[in-house]
This record gives sequence, structure tokens and C-alpha cells, in this order.
Amino acid sequence: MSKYVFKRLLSGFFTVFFIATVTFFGMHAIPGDPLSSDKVMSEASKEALNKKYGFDKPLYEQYFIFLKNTAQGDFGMSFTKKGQDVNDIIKQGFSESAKLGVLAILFAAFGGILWGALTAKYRNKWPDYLIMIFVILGISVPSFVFASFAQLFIVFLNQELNLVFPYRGDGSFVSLLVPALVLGLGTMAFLTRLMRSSLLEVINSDFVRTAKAKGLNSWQIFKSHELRNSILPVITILGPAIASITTGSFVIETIFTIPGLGKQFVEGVQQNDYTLIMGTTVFYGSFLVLMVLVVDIVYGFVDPRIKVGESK
Amino acid sequence: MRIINRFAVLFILLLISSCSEQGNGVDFNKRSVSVIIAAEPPTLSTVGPVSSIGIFFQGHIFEGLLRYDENNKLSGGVAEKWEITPEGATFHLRKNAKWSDGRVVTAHDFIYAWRLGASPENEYNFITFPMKNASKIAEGKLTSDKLGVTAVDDFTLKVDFEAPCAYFPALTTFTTYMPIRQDSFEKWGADKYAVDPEKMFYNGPFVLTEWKHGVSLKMTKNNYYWDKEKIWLNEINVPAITDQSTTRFNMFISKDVCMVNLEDSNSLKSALKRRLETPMKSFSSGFISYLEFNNREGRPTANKNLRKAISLVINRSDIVNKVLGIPGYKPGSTMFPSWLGGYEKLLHEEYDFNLPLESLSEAQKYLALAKEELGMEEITLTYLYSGGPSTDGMAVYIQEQLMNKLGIKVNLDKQIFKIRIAKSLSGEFDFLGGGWGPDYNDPMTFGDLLASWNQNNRGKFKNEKYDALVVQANNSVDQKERMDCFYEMHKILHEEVPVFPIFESGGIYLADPRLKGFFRNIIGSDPQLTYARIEEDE
Repeated sequence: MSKYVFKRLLSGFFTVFFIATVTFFGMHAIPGDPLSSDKVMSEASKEALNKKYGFDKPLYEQYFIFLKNTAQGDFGMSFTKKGQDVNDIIKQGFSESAKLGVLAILFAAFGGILWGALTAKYRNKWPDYLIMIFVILGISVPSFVFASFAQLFIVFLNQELNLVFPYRGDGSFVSLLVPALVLGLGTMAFLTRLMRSSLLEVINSDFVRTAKAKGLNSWQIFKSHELRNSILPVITILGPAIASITTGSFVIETIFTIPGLGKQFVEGVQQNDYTLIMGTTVFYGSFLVLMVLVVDIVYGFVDPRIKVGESK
Repeated sequence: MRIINRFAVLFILLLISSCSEQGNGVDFNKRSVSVIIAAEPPTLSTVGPVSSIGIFFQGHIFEGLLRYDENNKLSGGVAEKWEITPEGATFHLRKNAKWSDGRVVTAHDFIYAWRLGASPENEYNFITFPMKNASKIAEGKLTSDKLGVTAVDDFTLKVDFEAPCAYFPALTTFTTYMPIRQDSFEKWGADKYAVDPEKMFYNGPFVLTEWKHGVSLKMTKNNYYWDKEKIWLNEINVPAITDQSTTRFNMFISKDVCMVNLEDSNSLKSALKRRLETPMKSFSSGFISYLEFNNREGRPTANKNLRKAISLVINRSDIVNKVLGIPGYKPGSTMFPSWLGGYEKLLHEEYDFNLPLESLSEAQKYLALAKEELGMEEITLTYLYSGGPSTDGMAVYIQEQLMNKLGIKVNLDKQIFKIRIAKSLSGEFDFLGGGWGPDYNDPMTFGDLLASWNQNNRGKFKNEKYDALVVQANNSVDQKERMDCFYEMHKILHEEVPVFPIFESGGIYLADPRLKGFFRNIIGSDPQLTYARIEEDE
């Protein structure tokens, strides 16, 4: 097991290294730099600033400086957010996004499993159709539409009923509920479909018939036979979903004014903020690699037939 | 079931406890107002990158030699009185102007700031060029202590000009001209100075007391401010930062902010639908938008007749009213927008900037001439632009007009902002969608944009007569003569069409009717809340 984890971590390291390298050179190949703005700087100013930030050095040298600093866990200072360490920006943004993300994942996982189970149980009956309509909506309508509508709806309710339900992130837990629900909606819809098809497969299998024949009631069958055997694909998706959802969503965060990490990804790219781009990319890459590894290990617990780390 | 009930009770309690009081957009008792901003200022250092959102804060927490008073008229700030001659200016500082730790503001604080402002490392150093030697310092040819500004004593500041500068007093309200405390700047260093409340000193009517990065900011009244009797407000809050116009509008509806801009037609529509009692008012952003043609050799747009032909088939009012439909925008026929002041009244009241356009049929004539001169049968042009849906609409309109009326094929090259800037500088375009905003309150801020030496002249337009007029206007202190120069420049642009002005941008805004005494500014802090007050609820 530990040998397996080590092997996976090593390959993960190379994956992240590869991502970082490609991003680094791609980013520098794009015209423009962090310092350019609407009004042009004089050549002298440009020279002075390039020297100050080390842009006058050859690219490979900048690359090695970046590698050295990253190895020491230091992404450097942001160019567009003066005086702020990229490490701090990521730390702060991630803690906000993760709070929201964990809630969203909970919504998505429980909702997905619940609705998926319902649709499978009532296959081709009205609950199935009804839920599937919402599922298709959830998958195909982009989240900013839901987010805008949700906010508009709360503001409307507040006005009509004289309530003060938070319509944007103000740091309280309650204010995260609606954004989390919206954020988890797409994943929830996807998981519902996944759960439905995998449960349908299980429902028609021999061992479920056997369980029925043994005289187990339907809740027991669902709990210990159907759910456990159908949940594997859900877990597969959940790993990457956790990585992508807890690292933030630009749209949800700007609409609900939540100071998360998702905003930093987009702003970094828009502003050509080299250090911020590299910081967020390496962080996200590593996190994703780690989550996929965790999922593979969790498989072993959910399904004892899968032996993690043992070759056939 | 009992567990579920308990959860429900807990949940409701949580809901109730977490709900804040509604509506602290304006608070009469606390004397506080809240505003929403679209982006976080990159820094509040007055020698860092200049941004309009930074200027909003800087205009409240710092004060230059001069300031705009409660009537929005230029008046004494740190300087009590001042004299200006063609050779220079002398400013007499008041002795009761203090920093937020009680230390007196002296002439040396200004000299320290201005030397930093002129240095090559300040990208906005061009704003110091009226001062003697500033441009050489910016190029790195002289050290910054050679800057033409000296302290006669602690309270007398003497400025030597490079050339006569009639608008210098107004320029001292600009952010780069604010004083800087040497001890604080040196303690934190250029990169960390003024990025947190404790990393700077303040000499303006307000001090920054809170800055949660990416989340919120707060300014409170400065008790050391020399004119604090005139300041009614205790607090200016920025509760959130978002560029989502719907969110900002919702915050205004929920009375959590005192003011909101309706910058697109959608938010205007939803505002109209709600039949708000708040009156809608318009503001001008001061920006002018235009098409800029590439005059570099080898580009078809270097041909004057082609530029004229194109300019004749694009209808400004169609773009403003039918394509963009953004409230507050107005068609602009000149690079000198209508809000600029002239020698006595407004520039546009003193001169006629709406020179008659030739008729549409002339366009064909110019096109034929252009084709002959260029030796081209088919003309294909690349239009470089960036932005959102409205600029897309404009691009498509231009593409269609040029195709239908002139048979010119236009390739649209839409890029993100930074790439557009890079491509426009390297000349990879035939014409581009450009814009320019003012840095100071004088037509020169637009006038020298197309001077051949100006780096921001992206189309590399070069006209000796135009250049001479810029120099003449720069060297004169006679306002009438200067305004005549600007008008002559306009005529040259009208004739040569290196740029084709399209509109002056602006918008509609809503403000809480109880809020009084604030200003929407083109130059400086927008909104300016220093002298704002709140009327008591009835």
C-alpha cells in the first residue's frame, strides 16, 4: 500500500511539473505582460520595471528561478495586487472557496444519490420524469443563470415580505447556503444521472433477486446491496469534482461577492499576473492529483474486491 | 423525527441570528454611507499603478496642494495660497495641515513624493513633465534630485517649469502630486507601502481603517485633518467588491449601498421595470471612444482617402442609439469631449466642433481614389478590439457597413485587454477600437495623444502642423491662444482622419435621495463623498 502511494505521488509530481512547465512557457508566449496598461509606459520606465521584476533575464533563467522558488514553496509576490504574496492570496481564497465548496459537494452528493435512487426506483413513472426534467435543466443551464435568478429571487422576497435573508456572501454561514446550492447544482444533476444508470444495472442483477428471495425488506436491500454496489461511479466523479468545486467558481463568487479562489484564477489570466497564474495552476494541479489518488484509495474501502496497490 | 425538528429549530435560529440589519447604505445616526466598487485597487500608493478605483480612495485619504472644495471648485488644500508665472509656481503651505499621526505636512513631503513620481519606475511619470528636468529624470538621464522643485523653507514650495504650464495648479490635485511620508515609504518599501491601512500615513479628510483584501474596505474621518469641521461623514464603507452589475443593482435595491451605476441597458431596463422612486441621473465618465487607423507604412489605412471613405459610412448616432443603446452615451465628433473647459465657458460653447461631414456619395469617390493609389482591387482590413457584448455589436456594425457600402472585407480580431494593448503597440492591426480618458482637466490631456512622439499614438499618426500646435499650446499661458490651437488640431484631425471619434461614454446612476453634497467627477475621485451629508429620515 505505502509503496503504491509513493509510486502514485511520484507520478503525480511529474504531472504537476509538466503542467507547470507548459503553463509557464505558454503564459510567456502570450503577447503582453503584467506591467502593460491602457496608457503606455515610456521605454525607460519599461526598462526600469523589467529590471526590477527580472523580466530582462532570458526566459530559461526566469524558469529556473521559478522552479527554485516553487520548490521552496514560495510563489512570489503578485504583480497586480501590490504587496501581497501569492501564497497568502491562495491560502485566503482557498479557505473561502473550500467552505463554500464542501457545502456544495454535500448538496451535490446527497442530492445526487437521493434523486438518482428515486429515479431508478420509480423508473418510467412520474417521479422519474419530473426529476429528469430538472436534471436536464441542471446540466444544460449555465450556473450564472441560476445564480442571478436565485439572487434576484431572494432580493424580491426580502422586499415583498420584509425579510433580511442574505442575498450575497457576507461572511456568515447562512449566506453560503444559496451560493452552495447553485454551485453544486450541475454536479448534483450529473451525479443523479450517473446514480440512476448504475443503480438500474444493480437492481436487475441476480444478487438483488436473491436478496429479495431471502425475504429482506426493500430498505435493507437498498442499503446493503444496491447502494453499495452502485455508488462506485459516483465516487469516481466525486474526487475530481471536489478538487474543482472547492477551488472556487469565478461566476458564483463574483455574483455572490464571495472572496474565493475562483476569482483569482480568472483575474490572474486577465491581468497576465505571472506569479498568480503559476501559483493557482500549481496549487490546483497538485490538489487535483491528490484527490484522484484519494478516490483510488477509497475504492478499496467501498468495494473490498478492489485491492489497491496489488497487481493482478 | 424529533432530531429533524431540533435541526429545523436550530436552522431557523441560525437564520435569524445571522441576519444583519437591513439597509446600511446610508445611516444618519452613524453618519456613514456605503458604496460598492467593481475592482479592488491594486495599491493605494500614489506612485504605484494609477487606477480610477485607486483614485477614488486616494482622493479621500490624501490631499494635494490644491483640492476641489464643497462646491467642486478648485481651492486651497495643503497650500493656503499660490502664485503662478510662466517660469514656475510658488505654493505657500498652511501650518495646520497634519498627517494622521499629528506630524505637520511640510514641503519636503511633497518633494519626496514628486521625485518618486518622476522616476523611471513610476509608469505615470509623464504627469510630472511640466516640471523642469522631469522628462530627463523619467528617461534615466538625470537623477531625481535634479527635479525642478525646491523647498524655500518648510512651508514654501517653489516649482520651476520646463515650459509654461497654465494648468499646473489643477494638476496638483492629481494623485501623483499627493505628498508621501518618507519614513513610512522607506520602512515598507515601494512594493509594500500603502497596501494595508497601517502601512501609510494620511493627510486627507479620511483615513483608511480597514482593508480586507478582496472583501471590503472602510474609511473613517481623520481627526487630524485641518478642515475637519466641514466634514460631516464619519464613515465611508465599501462592503463588497464585484464587477457584476446585477449584484450591485441588487445591493442598491436592498439599500445596502447608497449609489449604483446602471452601466448597461439590461440594468437600466430592470431599474425602469421596478418603477423606483429614486430619480435617475446621468454622469459622464470623461472617456472618448474612437477608431484609430494604422498609419504605419505598408498598411492600407495609411492611405488618407481610404480613411475618409470609411469615416463617411460609419454613422455615430446609429452606433450610439441603435447598436450600443447604453444610456448616458452620446455621439462624439471630436477627440475633445464636450465637458472640457475652454477659455471662459465650455470648449464646445466657444467653438463649433460639429464640422459638416461630406455626403455619403463622396465615400465612393474616396474609395476609388484609394484603390488607385494603393493599387489594390480588393481591400481587406483587420479590426482589433477587446471588450464585452456591446463592443462586439459595434464591431459587427462596422464590419457590415464597410462590406455593404464600400465592399471592404473586415476581419474581426477580438482579444483580451492585455493582448489588445500588446498588439496595438506592435502595430498588428489596420484599425482598432480605442479609448482615452483624461488625466487632468485641460484639453491637452487629449490633445497631445496624437502628437508624433506620444507612445500612446498607436496608429503612429505624424503630422508636422499638428505637432507644432501641440508645442505652441504647451508653451503658452494665454488660454485663448491655447484653445485656438486645440480647435486647429481638431480641424486637422477632421481633415486627415487618423482617428474617427465615435462616442463619449457615461451612464445613468441611482443615488439614495437622502444623500446630499456628493459629486460625480470626471477628474479625481468618483464619487467624491468628502462633503457628503445625509438628510434625516422624516
